[in-house]
Amino acid sequence: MKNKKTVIALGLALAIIIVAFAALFIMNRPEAEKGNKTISVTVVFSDKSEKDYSIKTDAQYLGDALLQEKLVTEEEYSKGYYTVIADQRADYNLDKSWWCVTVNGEMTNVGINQQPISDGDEFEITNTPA
Amino acid sequence: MYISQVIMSHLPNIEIVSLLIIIITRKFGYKALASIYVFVGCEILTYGLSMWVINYLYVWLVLWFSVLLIRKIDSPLIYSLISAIFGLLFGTLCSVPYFLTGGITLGVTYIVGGFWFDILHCSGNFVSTLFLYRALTRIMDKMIKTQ
Repeated sequence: MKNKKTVIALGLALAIIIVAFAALFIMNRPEAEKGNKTISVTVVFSDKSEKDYSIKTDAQYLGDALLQEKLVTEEEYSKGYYTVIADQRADYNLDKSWWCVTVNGEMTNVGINQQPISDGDEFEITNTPA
Repeated sequence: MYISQVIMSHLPNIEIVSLLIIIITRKFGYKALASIYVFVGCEILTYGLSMWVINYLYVWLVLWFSVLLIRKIDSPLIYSLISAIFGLLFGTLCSVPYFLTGGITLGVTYIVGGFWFDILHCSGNFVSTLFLYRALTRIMDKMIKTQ
């Protein structure tokens, strides 16, 4: 009986936390824009060199635009978890390096596949070491 | 703990470190802290010093303390739920340095940006604990008996 109460309490706590997170995510998620857009993407590599890409696309999200330009692989696009961008790897699970994404100078607060793009957006994707 | 983390490092946010901490804490109580910080030390030696080190110094304590409070209970489901909650809150717990250095905006950005990874962490912890708790507990009991 005691364990049953604990299980119910923990189950409720888990459900409440999931709902709270979902609400936080929805409140902070930016809106997608339809139609043709031109965005710029600067990839900053581990040696601090940079490469600029001007992308004309009607994609609504950054992941789709990057896939269009073959800057990311289909496999990682389908998973929504990117380690290889522009042929360079940054894998947090291997060496704690990661890709930091900013839009118009500010860090994004969603994943690449969920990041909406608007005409004129300037993205910077930086290989950030541990 | 360290070996399991390295082996599973290619699976994003899937780990059994949480489960091992649960089992070791149940069996050894306060002494489990030694295992936890040996693990943290191995991670630092492998990956070097960075912001994540600050996170690792305190984040596992939350799980350890939660289990310490109820260590007499022997229920895979309860520990699965605790592990799941811990996985879900992992990103939030790790966001503390970002709140302190970058304010509310950076902290919230960090939490929201890692939302899907926390969901993955939560699910992985729940499933791995539910299915492996009994087997690993038996192995730990055997190891303790043979000593």
